[in-house]
Parts: sequence; C-alpha cells; structure tokens
Amino acid sequence: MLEAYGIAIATLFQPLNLLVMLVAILIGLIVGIIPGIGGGTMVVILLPFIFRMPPEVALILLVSLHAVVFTSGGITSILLNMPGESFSAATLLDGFPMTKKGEGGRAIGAAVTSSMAGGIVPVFLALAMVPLVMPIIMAFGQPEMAMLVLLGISFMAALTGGSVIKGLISGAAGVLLSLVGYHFVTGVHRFSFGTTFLYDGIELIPLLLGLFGIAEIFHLVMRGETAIAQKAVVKLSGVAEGMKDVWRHKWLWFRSTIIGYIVGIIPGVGAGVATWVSYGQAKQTSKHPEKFGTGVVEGVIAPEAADNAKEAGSLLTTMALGIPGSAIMALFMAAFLMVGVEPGPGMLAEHLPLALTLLLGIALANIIGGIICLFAAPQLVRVASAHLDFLFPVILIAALIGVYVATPSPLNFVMILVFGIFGLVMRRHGYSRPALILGFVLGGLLENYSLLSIKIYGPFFLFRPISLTLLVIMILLLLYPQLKRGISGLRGRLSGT
Amino acid sequence: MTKKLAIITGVLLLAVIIVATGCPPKNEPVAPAEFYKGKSIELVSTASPGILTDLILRIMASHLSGDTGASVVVTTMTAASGMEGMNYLYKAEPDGLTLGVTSSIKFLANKVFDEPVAEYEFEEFSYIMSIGRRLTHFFVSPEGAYQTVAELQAAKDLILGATSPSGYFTLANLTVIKILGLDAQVITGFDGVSAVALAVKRGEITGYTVEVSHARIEAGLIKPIFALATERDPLMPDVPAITELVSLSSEDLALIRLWETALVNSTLFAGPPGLPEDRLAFLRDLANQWTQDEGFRKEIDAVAGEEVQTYTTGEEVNSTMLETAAGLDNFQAIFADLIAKHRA
Amino acid sequence: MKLKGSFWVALLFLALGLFGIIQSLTFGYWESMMLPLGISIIIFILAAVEVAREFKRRGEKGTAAATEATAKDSEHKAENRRLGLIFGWAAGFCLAIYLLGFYISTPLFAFAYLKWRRRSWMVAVVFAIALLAFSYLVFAVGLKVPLYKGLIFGAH
Repeated sequence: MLEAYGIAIATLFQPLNLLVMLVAILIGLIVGIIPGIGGGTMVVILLPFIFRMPPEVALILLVSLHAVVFTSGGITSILLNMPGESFSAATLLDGFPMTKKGEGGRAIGAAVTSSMAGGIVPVFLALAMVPLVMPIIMAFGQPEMAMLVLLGISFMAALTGGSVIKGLISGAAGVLLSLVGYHFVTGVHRFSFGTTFLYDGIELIPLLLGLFGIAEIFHLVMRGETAIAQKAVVKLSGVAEGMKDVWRHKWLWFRSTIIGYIVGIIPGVGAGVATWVSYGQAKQTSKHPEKFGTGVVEGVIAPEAADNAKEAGSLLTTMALGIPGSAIMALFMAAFLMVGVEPGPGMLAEHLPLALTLLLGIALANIIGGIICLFAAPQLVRVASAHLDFLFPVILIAALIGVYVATPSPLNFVMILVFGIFGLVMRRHGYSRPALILGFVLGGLLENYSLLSIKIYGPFFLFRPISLTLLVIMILLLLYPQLKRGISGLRGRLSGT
Repeated sequence: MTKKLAIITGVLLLAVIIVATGCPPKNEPVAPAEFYKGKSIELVSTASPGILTDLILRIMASHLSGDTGASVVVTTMTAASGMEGMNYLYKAEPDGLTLGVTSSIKFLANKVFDEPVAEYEFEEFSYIMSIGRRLTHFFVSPEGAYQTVAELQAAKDLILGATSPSGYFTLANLTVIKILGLDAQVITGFDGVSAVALAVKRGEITGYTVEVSHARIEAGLIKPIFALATERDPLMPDVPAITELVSLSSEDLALIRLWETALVNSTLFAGPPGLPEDRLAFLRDLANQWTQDEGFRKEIDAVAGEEVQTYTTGEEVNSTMLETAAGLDNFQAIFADLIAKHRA
Repeated sequence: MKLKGSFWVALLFLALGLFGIIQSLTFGYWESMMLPLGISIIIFILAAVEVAREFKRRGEKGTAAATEATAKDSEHKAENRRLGLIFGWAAGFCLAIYLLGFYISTPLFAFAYLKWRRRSWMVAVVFAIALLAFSYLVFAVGLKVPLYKGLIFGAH
C-alpha cells in the first residue's frame, strides 16, 4: 500500500502531468463560471482525444478539470445570481444577497474555501471507505432513496420566506412543473400536449437561469439601479474574511461535507439532495435561522461543501464498483474504458497506483484551483459594480448561450424569458423561488422512488429500519429550533429553582 | 471623425460576419471526395454523451474528419428518447452533409410502440454501416433465490425491471414472461439500466432482460441465465440459449429468432432518405475501410469493453433494415397484445 | 379600491391548480394521476386561501393608505414602463437570434442597446466587437460547440 502511494505521488508530480493538471484547472475554472456549461460538456469534448494520450495523463486531465468546476461554479451564483453549475442554485440564496450588501469578496472567499476543502477531505476518506461503499449502496433501496429525497423536500419549510402559504404554493408549483413530460412508470405523457419539446419535461437550466438570472437583471433595471452592488469591497482582506468564516463554522462545514459525500456515494439520489439538505440543516441548526436568505455566510458554506464533496463520493463508487452515480460519472466510466482501465472491484486491485493518483490529483487540483480563485476573487468582485448598461447584455447573452448549449432548441429562448417574467412576478409578490426550485429538482424523484417502493414493497414501505431512521432524522431536524428552545427553557427552570 | 470611424468599422464587421457565417452551399456536380473537402458535416447523436452509441459516434467523427477533409460538428439531440434527433435526420437535406448515429433498438422500439412523436420510417434512411451485435440475455442476482429457468417457472409473483414502458427492455421482459410462462410483472420507472442492475443485486426485483454488459457481470452485480436466442453468444459460450432449456412452439421460436436478428442492438450510421448514390457509395466505401483499419477497431473495442466482431457496411445494412421492417409488421400484433396485458 | 397585483397572481396560481386537477384526471393510471392530482389540489386550496386574503385586504385600508397607494402607483407605473422596455429588448434579441443566429445578433444587440442607453459610438462598437470575439473564441474555437446559426443562415 505504501509503495502504491509512493508511485502515485511520483506519477502525479511528473512535470508533464503537473502541466496537464494546470491547463485542466484553468479550463475547468472558466467552464465552471460560464452558466449552463458544466464539466460534463468539457469531458465530452475531450473524450475523443483521450485515445491518443497515456492513461494517467488522460485521466489526470479529466479529474482535474472536473474537480475545480464546482469550485468556480459558485462564483456566478454569488456575483450575478446565475448558477454556473446547475446545483450551485442553493449557494445563490445567500451568496447573491451578500454581494448586494457589498460582501461579494467575503462570499467568494467562503464559497471557494468551503468547496476546496469539501473536495479534499473526502479524498482521504475515500480509501478508508472502500469496503463500506457496497454495503451502503446495497442498504439504500427504493424506500430509502424516497426518504432521502423527502428529507430534502422537507426543508422546503425552511425556504418559504415571509409567507408560509406563498412558500408552499411555490414549492407545490415546482413539483407540478417537474411532472411535465413522459412518465417512466406508466408511459403516460403528462402536460406535454403531444409535443417533442416537452416530451422529456421542462429543463432545469432555462428554469434556473430564467427564475434567478434573468428575473434579477430585469428587477434591477426595472428599479432604475445602475449596478448590482453600489459598493463592493474589492480587497483581498474581504476574501480572507470569508476564508476565516469557514474555520469559524468548521463543524457546519464538516457536517455538510459528510452529507455531500454520503449522498454522492449512492447512485441515483440526485445531486440536488446533497446541496439542499446541507442548506436546510445549516438553517435549522443556526443560531439565527431567520437571517438565512438575507445574506449569511453559513448559507454559502454549507451547499458549497456538499456540492464538491458529493463528486468525490460519486467517483469512488464509479471506480470501485463500476457503477456510475451520475451522468458525468457515466462519462468518466467511458474515459476509463477508452484508456484500457475497467472500473470495478478489479480496478483497485490491478490499478491501485492509478486510482490513488486520481484521488490525490483531485485533492491537489482543488488546492491549486482554490488558490487561483481566491487571488482572482477581488477582481471578479468588480463585476458586481459594473454598470448595468454593460452587464445586462452580458448576462442575457451568457444565459441564452448557456441555455442553448445545455439543450439546443430555440424554444428554450422563449422558456427562459417566460421564466424570467415569472421569477420577477414571484419576487415582487413574495413567492419563494428557492422553494419552487427545490420542488422542481426533487418532486419528480420523490414520485418515482415512492411509486417503485409501493410496487415492490407495498404501501408500508416506510417501515424499514433505514427509512424509519431517516424519517426520525427529518422530524428532529424540522423541530430542532423548537426542541432547542424547549431544552434551554427547561435548563433555565432547573437552574433557577 | 470618431463617429464615422465607428460606423464604418461596425458595418464592415457586420458584412464580414454575414459572409463568414455562410450562405447555403450551392449544389455542385463534383466528385464526392472533392465535395467534402473544406465542408462542414453535421453528425447527429441521438444518445446522451458517454453512452456507447455516442462514444462510437465520436470515434467515427474523428475518422470521418480525417478521411474527408471536412470538419465534423457533433450535434446531440436526445429529446424524446432520441426521437428528436431521428426526426431531424429524417427531414434533413439529403446532401450528405447531415448524417447521424443511433442505436437500432431505438429506431425499432418506436415503430413497435407506434410512438406519436416519431415522424420517420426507419427503413427509408440511407444506411452506411452497422457496428456490433449485442444479443439480449436474461439476468438475475448471483446471490438471488432463482438461479435456473425451472426455479423461475415454479415461482410466484416475480418482478422484472425496466426503465421505460415504451422501451426495448420492457418488450424483452414481456417476451421472456410469455415464452417461459412466468408468474411475473414488469415494473418500469428505474433511472437507467444501472439502477435496474442494482435493484436486482439488492434483491428488490428478480431480474431483467437486457443486452450484455460485461462490466456489470465482472462487478458481480448480475449473472446471465440464458440468451434470448437460438444460439449461444460467442463471447459468453458458457451461457445457454433459451432454446436449449425449454421446448418452444413455432410461434415462440419465430419470436426468439426475431430477437436475435431484427431486435439485436447495434449502432447504425446513416444519412437521411434520398442521399445521392455517389455520395452514399463514397461513405460506404470509407466505412468499409474503417472496418479493415486496426486502429479504428481497437478504439471501438475499447469503448465497447469487448472485441466487437460484427461490422456490416453497404447495401447489406439497407436490406437488413427492410427485412426487419417487414418482420416487425408481423409481430406488432403479438407485441401489442403483450403490452396490453402488461398495462392491464 | 383597485385589486392589487398580488390578487391576480394568486388567481393565476388558482387557475394553475384547477388546470392541474382537470388534466390529471385524464391520465388514466393511478400511478400517473396520484401526485399531479394531489399537488394540484394543494395548489388550488392554498391559492384559494390567498385569493380570499387578498380580496379581503383591498377593503380594509383607510384614506392614509389610499394616498400612499396612489404615490406607489406612479412609482409602479415607471417601473412597469422600464420593465416593458427591457423585456422588449430581451424578446427582440431572442427573435434576432432565432432569425440570424448568435454570431450576428450578439454584436448587433450589444451595439444597439448601448446606443439606446446613449453610450458613445466608440464604446458601443468596441463592446459589441469584444462580446462577439469572446463568444466566437470560447465556443467556436475553444469548445467547438456549435451555436445556433439562425433560420436564415442555417438550421444549426
């Protein structure tokens, strides 16, 4: 084992491999920032070139690129209210308000540090957890997945904002939107009116970019504002403050990382669960839950840690078991096959040094990528104070390109405008856009897993040990603020007497 | 002065852009090899990135670009289970500049299920090449309660899994239920074939019927019980064909033969209907050269995870698809009956 | 007193809920009907409560609130005018992309918008060229991702 580590480190620090890693990091950081274009797009583009590369060079290129996409993906969420990666949506709930308050540098510092650390620590957990991966995956059947998704949805209550009724309407509307399209359980076409465009349902990217990015820019122009933030702190000290915030909230960061990692291990749960559950538990356990959504740094730390940590979990499952946990991991599996490495139980036995090289490569890429982002942050923050005369065309063009690259159909231009107006109306009248997105991301999944559970186990599928445990955790988390108050009150009374 | 300079710059730039973006190419009577030089070929992928069909397409794109001198742009159109891409390819201008790669099963399943959004007739495409021949097998968990056909036939309330009710795997499952007379239902809605395999391994469902995946077999997730064919798969000689395990009526035998001929999954490279003969011949000739190229075959083997042995080019692919269309017409009534019973 | 925008938004959700209920009942199988119907009923009930609350609110305000409302009305009118204009620009840009493609529409839109915002000719031209160059270099050259060419110059 030690020998394998030695080979891995020596391989990683070969000049060519380091150079390839640096190039991949730069590409990954840029790709992560551009809305709608995820790491998956870049991996697809690079796949045909992989044949001509030595295996370790090809795979270092891909894992390094992919590792840093999530680090930079939070930056556009924070500065422009437009998620760079589709699952950076939770970050903008507090990230963008921080920017508007002039704390964009602090938000970026916190996001990058949290994401970077969230991508490093699981790497060291990964190898220790290899024997546990298969038992965890086997333990999480359809009912357990349904409960995990329900746990994510239950945090909708935490996202309702001012009016609970309006928040629930928003969440329910999101669930309804998620049900548009072909139903894979029965084959019925729901709400698609026989069109090819809606056959697969509404796409997440136009919904996200419209509801948040376009709606926000419309709102700012409508109000006669001239910039996103009138006063932005353009200093490294602002960024450093954010880095210190992660240390101050280290237990929150750690919990979120573990949540993201465990969710990442389980194939098919959905990346949205990791970020939303992290955000929800951050709010529920905070001393000031009422401030979430107004620009608190915990609301940035939690989802960013989970977002990056889940990828390490996903890669472990792919390498160790040959089971891709997500669409991007399916691409990685293809890449492994193309260089002659078959993922699965045999991979760790036959290619242990290579597997270690990749895992250590992820850690190193996160460190380098994180440092680049932190030093670039003060300059990036200037974007927030750019005049809207210039920012409006840039944001609109970026959104339309992002939407087209994600799904090449001109009809999505209409969708993004419609959702933009819808988002603006929701914002103006107190309806919760985060609740709608949460409902949209998790609603369809909940239906699917619930129906499969009922068909396989019958209506009492909830009464399985892990499902019941998750249900109890969900109730406890939802009631945590009340329980905490109750316990404090009891302590006070006991000490007073 | 500044204003004039700015206007002139702007107008010039616009003119350059309009010209550079390109007017539609004129139809010129040139030899195919000359025709493709410097042009842009659009290669339509109906599969999501990372799926075998898409990977094969990208290998072809690289060789096509090198051999024709054209730049090849891959357009992914996966909406409606790839039907968007197939419709687009069907209606594309038959000038040889729009080609596509798809899986044969996708074409055919839509015909069987009479999908309303499918606007193509699959036997009308201009076929260039077919790669691979992946027989369908029935899989169970290696640790599951049922390891033989006899055990399956004796059991009650079996559950077979599939992804979509309008898909090839559902059809394959229904065929197995019919032929073996199983007391079983098909549950659909799993998020991909990996999810079904995991459910089999967990013991949530009994098994499923799908084309072979060596990776999942090597990982110990699933174990093949039989091939839905009259002969064994040469790459899995230890796994019997279903005809070795049960005796079948002539109708069931004909159904099995359909599964090892028309309904075998392969990757198809094709152009829209009406492709000019000379350009079609040129492309078929290129494809033939690829099958002789060791580098090309190695790349295909690498992504397929096995040594691909079946490459069909030229007219043979066209006539196979025509025969398939004729054969499927006969079986649509049987499949419709199976589907109706399942949905009841 | 005039009904506020919030009332109409709540009514829109009420209509959405009703639409969902009616459509769900046509889905045939209980599996495909269960969640859409349940969610649509929830939306309908909650939206009905919100409609009722908004309707009740319009009758509750006194004169001072009415004066304040009038002042806010003119502010809202100005905002709506700006929104109409900016939406018009966005929709026009989308239409231009649909017809002419990204590479022609992007510099045209950027130039025209900045000129409308009374920026100088040089700034408008330079910005338009910079945006075009960035899009082309990143997508066509760097990522080799084909951008939409528009109806007039090619389907893709």
